[in-house]
Amino acid sequence: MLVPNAADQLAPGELAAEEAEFVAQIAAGDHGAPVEQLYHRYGKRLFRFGVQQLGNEGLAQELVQETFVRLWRGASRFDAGKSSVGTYLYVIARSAAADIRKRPSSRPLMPVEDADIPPIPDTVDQIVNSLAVREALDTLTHEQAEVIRLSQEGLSQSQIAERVGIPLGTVKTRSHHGMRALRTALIERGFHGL
Amino acid sequence: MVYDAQHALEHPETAGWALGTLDPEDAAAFSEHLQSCEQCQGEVAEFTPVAGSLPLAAPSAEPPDDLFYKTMAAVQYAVMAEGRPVTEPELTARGPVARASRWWHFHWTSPLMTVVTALGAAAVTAAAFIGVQLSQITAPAVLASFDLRAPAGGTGSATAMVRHYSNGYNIALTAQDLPRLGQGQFYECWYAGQNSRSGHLELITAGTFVGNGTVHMWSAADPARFKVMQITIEQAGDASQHGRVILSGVAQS
Repeated sequence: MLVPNAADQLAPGELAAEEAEFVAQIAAGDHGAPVEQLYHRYGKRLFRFGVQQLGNEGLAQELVQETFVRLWRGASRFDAGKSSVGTYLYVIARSAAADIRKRPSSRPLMPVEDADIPPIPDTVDQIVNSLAVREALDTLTHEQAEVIRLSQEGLSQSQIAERVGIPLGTVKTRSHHGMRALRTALIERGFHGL
Repeated sequence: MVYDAQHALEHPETAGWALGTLDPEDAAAFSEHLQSCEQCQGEVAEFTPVAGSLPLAAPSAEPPDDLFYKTMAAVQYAVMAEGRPVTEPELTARGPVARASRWWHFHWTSPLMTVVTALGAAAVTAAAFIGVQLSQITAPAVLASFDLRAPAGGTGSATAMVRHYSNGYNIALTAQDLPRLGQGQFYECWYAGQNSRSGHLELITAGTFVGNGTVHMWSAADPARFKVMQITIEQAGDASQHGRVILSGVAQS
């Protein structure tokens, strides 16, 4: 499970207990500080998930708001023995995204070819993995991230060297260091499948 | 696999192989080496799922600073609309007499209020002496106050006191350390109402101003209904609603 950025100093067990307590406080009628804490931990991830799911930053903002409203409504039903708060939020967000996507006003004006649609995570594990990859990429140096990004655009190493203006050998070593750093960052974030 | 940094330095092609970015001649040479090198085989096995994860990456989009306040406001509206208990005391329309009574009771035991009360008594005596009605020289009690805060990374803060007069609601806003305005920009004070919903705020302007310090503005918006106040930076001539939110807060009774 992802470790929220704002609470890196807490052990996973402590983090889960603290977040479960936030939800209990919300269920008890406090919709101030506990909501604020959870927003600071999950707001950015939910927003990115929203952009990925809905393809639109405005709708992603709506998704984040709707997710926290639904969290407030369902807080009394949250069972810390069954899932983490993060998982609970992603389940809510996935459902909210489906509802927003169904609205006629959310549909794109132009038809989108299937080939243009990036893979959309469906299960909570896929959502967590997707966010973990983004956050792992964010840990790379600018130089490492650049060669990895250009490789994803389909450029060969010699084309990357030409595009960036660096020797081919430097592209190879940056790719290597970038991939090793990326693997470490993915493991730290609990990426499933390595 | 035990990572051998020296070997990795000699064969950095493992990453390009996993990513599929090696040029044909490099790929052919590395393919031959790979067949007999356990170290590179192990590294390729590690890098292949990493390369496979890249298309899964969520977008690198960053949420706008004011999404936090929009989210808090959306929850607040849901609480109001659905009738659940709220942490802040509910604002209800109260007559001037009821407000005065509540205010008097709440502050009665405060040491400061002893002084204030003494001064008030002197004012009453003076007012009676000159034949002026008390209601004509005292302002209505504060109906609602707002503690306005900046989003993470932002600067500035403000407090707003709202008083109800017969012809509308007066807002005394005191702001400090607001972000500097650019050419043609001004600050605008907004209320967001209870008909707001996620992504669609019901907005009513409360006034505009251009500097720190205390300003008085008038609005018809009742803070019992419009419980969220925001300060934005607007650009003259820009008709779009609304600008960047620099401060936001929820009404306290």
